[in-house]
Amino acid sequence: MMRYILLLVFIVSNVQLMGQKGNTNLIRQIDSLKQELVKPQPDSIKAEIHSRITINYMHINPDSSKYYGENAIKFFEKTKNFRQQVFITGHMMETNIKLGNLPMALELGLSILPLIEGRGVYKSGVSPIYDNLGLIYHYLGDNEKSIQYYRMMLIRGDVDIRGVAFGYFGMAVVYESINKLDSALICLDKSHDAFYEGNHSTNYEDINWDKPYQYKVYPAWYNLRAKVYLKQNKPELALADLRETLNTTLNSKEVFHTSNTYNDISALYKTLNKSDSSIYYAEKGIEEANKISYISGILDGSKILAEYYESIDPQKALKYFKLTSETEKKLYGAGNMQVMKDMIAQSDKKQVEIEAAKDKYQNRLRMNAIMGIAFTLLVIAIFLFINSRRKQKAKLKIEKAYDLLKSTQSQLIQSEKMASLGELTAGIAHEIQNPLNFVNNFSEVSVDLVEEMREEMATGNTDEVDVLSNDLKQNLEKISHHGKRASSIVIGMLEHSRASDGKRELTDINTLADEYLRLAYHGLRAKDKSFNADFKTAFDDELPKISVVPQDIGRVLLNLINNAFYACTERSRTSTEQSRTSTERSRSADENDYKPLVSVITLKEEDKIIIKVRDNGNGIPESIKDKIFQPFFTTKPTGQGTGLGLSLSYDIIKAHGGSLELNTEKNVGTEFIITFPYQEITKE
Amino acid sequence: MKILVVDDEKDIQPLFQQRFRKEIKNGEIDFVFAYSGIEALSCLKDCKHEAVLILSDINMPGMSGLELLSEIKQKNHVPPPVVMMITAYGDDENYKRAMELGADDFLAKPIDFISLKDKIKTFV
Repeated sequence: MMRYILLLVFIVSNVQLMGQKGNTNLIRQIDSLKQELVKPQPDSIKAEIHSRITINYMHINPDSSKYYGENAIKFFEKTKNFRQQVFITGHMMETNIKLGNLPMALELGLSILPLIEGRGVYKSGVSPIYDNLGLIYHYLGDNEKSIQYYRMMLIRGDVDIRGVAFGYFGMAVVYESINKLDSALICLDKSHDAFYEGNHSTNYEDINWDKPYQYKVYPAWYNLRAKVYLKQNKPELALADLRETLNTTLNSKEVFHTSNTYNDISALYKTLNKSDSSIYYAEKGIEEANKISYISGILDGSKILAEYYESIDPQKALKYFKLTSETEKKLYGAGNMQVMKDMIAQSDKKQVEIEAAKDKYQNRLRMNAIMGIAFTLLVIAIFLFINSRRKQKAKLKIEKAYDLLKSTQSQLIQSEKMASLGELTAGIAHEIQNPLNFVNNFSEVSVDLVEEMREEMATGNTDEVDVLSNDLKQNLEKISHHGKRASSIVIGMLEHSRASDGKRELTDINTLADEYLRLAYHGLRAKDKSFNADFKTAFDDELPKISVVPQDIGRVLLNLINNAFYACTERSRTSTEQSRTSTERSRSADENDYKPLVSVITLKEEDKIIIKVRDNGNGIPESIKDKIFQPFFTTKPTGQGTGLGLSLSYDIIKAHGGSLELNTEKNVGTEFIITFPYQEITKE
Repeated sequence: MKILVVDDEKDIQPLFQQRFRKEIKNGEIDFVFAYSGIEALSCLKDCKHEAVLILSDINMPGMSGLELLSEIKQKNHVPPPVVMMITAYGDDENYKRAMELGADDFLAKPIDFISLKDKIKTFV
């Protein structure tokens, strides 16, 4: 029926010489190929050689062919030449079918089928496998399955047009056999078109089909149409088709076509009751089939002949009956059928198992996917959990650090307070000693005055008594004044050291500034004997009381004033050092005349209350101007300044809704300016 | 006898005037008051050789009492007047510095006028 030929010339030229001669020729070729196998060869060459031996043995020694074929398959498998593996399998299937070894053909087909389907995308080159399977199932009478396999060829036909042609042809064979003649004709038409297209396709590259066909359409195509015509009672058309086949195949290398055609013509004449012609062609059919041990051809011919000779020549009839039964046995022998049925059952079971495995695999895939997703989610969840834990921990850490920082800060503020208080103590001592000097002395002198007054009263000198009483009154006022002065200093000191309660009070800034200016001055004097500087106040007498936290603002003023004095002493110290080290005796007039001066100025502008603390020191270098309000920034030697003064001052002024700015110029001095918005700061 | 009293505390004037009430009344002592070092120097310039005793505070803004002391002792005044330093800080360092600069005596605040009067008597 069909041919799949790779080594076209090589094989076909030998098929014709199937006699003793042909066999010797084939055996010689096989021997030389076997010689090649003795030499060390790469697997790909070994596969090729085995493949050739398989094909050569095909008709003369099916068992050897099977052996070499199996090896060829193994080597093609090993070298991953799947195309050639499919090819040789298809070839072996066809050979086995023609030899009547259907079980082997079926086994081959069923063994390669899962491989093909496993490949999924593998399209071209597999059609012959389906073709042969379709044929086997057709022989077995399972036309449904047969059609199924042929249809597979159509699906894969997009790259294998000849596969489509043979697919439709196979379907036509089935339809004809079950008398669906219209369907058969439609399939034949489609097959014809595909053959035609295949012959004209220039990029046709499929190695698995015989090419180029020396005939336009596969010869058996006409045989089949003839069968249909015959059934449609159109013997003339049928005969014309058969003669067409005979013409194209008679001298061709494909003997089985000729055998088939003779048998078909014989069958045709039989229906036309032309016994002689029928017998003649049947005998010719068997003769041709015998050339190549073509079982089917022998069977068809012998069947016809057996029937004819039944009534005419019992001896001949018996001969052909025997032949028929032998060939039938070969093809459909009870053993064969059972084997094949088992095989098919097994294959079906396998198929079911494969399906089940597939389902299982799918399920497992799905399960894996679900597990994967679940796992991923779990990982994410764990990650998030750890992250949040870490964050939580970090948060706790930060909070702890923050608390520590807070307490450290408050400690620092306190120590800054105490440090400035320490600076103050000496000043305070002086500031208390001075009023005490007056309190003590005025009260003592007053005692004397009273004594004197008594004496004068005794003498009746009223004028003198008058003067004395005035002095006494004045003294008592002085005592009261200086007593208050001392007490206010003590209160101020206490207030300074006390933690601020943050209560705002209406405060006289002038008094506050004056008090702290004196405290600062005397504090520095007490600390540093060489220190001296002049200070000046320029207070606006009209300045209204403002609502501030007195201790806080006092601290700011004290800090600014202390800094101012410090700046002055720095300049005077550096200038005297310079003049001392100077080689020239003449001192710079400017430096010599340097008089340190600190001024505190208060004034009221339209909507502002301004306090300025000014010094005539060296000025603040541009490079550190931005840093002086930063906490812990200090220019003082280590241990002498906390670096918090200005930073705290800045914060205090900010908290009062005011601003703290500075003007500075090198060798001219620095001026710190506190500005309060009038409206806000005067509110109670 | 003329005494120059130098202190930035203005109430020092009524205090001295009352404490030395009898002496002033009797014309024994004539007090002149200055409220800063600069003022004291100009006062000394104006009334040369008149001031026999100078009582000066040490802690004053501007020119301190010690600066004034060194001015008086190291410069022009012949014969140099007696200078007594008075301070609220009765510490050793101030005392030492004052003595180095040629102070004749050293008193601590609050001023003990009885001992001051004794000292004036011994100096004059």
